[in-house]
Amino acid sequence: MKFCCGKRFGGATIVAGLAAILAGCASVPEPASAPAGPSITADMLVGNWGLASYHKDADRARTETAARAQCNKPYVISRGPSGGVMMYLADQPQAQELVVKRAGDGKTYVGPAGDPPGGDLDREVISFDNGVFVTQWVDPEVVNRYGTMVFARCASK
Amino acid sequence: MRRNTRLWFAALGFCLLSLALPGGRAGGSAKAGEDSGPADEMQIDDQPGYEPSADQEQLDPQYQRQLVFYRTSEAPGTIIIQTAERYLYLVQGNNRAMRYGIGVGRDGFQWRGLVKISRKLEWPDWRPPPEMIERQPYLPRFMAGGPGNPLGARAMYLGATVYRIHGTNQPQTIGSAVSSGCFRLVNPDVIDLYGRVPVGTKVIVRQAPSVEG
Repeated sequence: MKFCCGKRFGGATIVAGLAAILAGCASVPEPASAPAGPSITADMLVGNWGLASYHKDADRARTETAARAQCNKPYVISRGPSGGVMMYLADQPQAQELVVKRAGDGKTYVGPAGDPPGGDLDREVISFDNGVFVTQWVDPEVVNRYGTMVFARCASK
Repeated sequence: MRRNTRLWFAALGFCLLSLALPGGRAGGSAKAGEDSGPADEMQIDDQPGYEPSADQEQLDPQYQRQLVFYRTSEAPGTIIIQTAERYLYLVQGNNRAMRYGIGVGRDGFQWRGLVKISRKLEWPDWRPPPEMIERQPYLPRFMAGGPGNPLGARAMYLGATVYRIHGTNQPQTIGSAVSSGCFRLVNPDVIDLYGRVPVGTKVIVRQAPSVEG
């Protein structure tokens, strides 16, 4: 039994060694890093937006369509007095000035100026293109409740 | 404090519909009721995004789903809603019915009639009424079905009316008059009911206490 197990161990060592050698021949993987967020400015957020939300990725496309249909009751983002944007934090009925923040890992956030990027009150901007931007609250409890937010720019009148 | 803000919503309760329901009158064959509202009318608004725990969805014994003695001439498979009792019965035959505790329309939004289930939806989408957007402008104007959705896990549309039997994320409203004419069940119950009834199911909405049971 002892012989048996020692032999197995030896085999495993050889296999592991070969694997290490083979792995060494391949390119060394880069350390995992978070994908960078979109590069945006406060000005790009100003305007009227249709707002919708979803929880499941499968609902994203139709939620985007739904967001475009909500311009009769738009979410209005205006310019703030200090160069930021007037938006609502989760569950806060009063708009307040928020700023666009860029974190060291390249992620983009919108939130209170005093908080570091990725603070609990921030929302991460996941994407921004084709007149649609998608955000997700940093606070997981808020994400659970409201899901991922899709803003679709309303056509100017 | 922030949590309190989330959970407290004053004033009017709405049927969990995006549509306004003038006078709470039903379309189709449903008729508006004349009865005055019950004493236990609640003043609570929808709580979009709120997810009740399993414990919170545990109802008081009187409103828990159960098989009960129920005498009726209606065929098995028929749904009978007794608004005044806050119960929905699914007739089983042999003088039995599955009974579910429900929340009903508040004063002025109750109705009675005979309809059929015209459509069924899992995890229905929800659109807050404009009044709610005004008070809570941070809300999405459309919320795809999912946890925290005020319409809950399932919806069964009643005929051509704007009313539905649906789930809820507010289990505390079961047994109360809070909606604008829809009937709400806790999510485990609405999932159970949904699995038992097909489109075309006859639904009888009554207001007075049953004289058959």
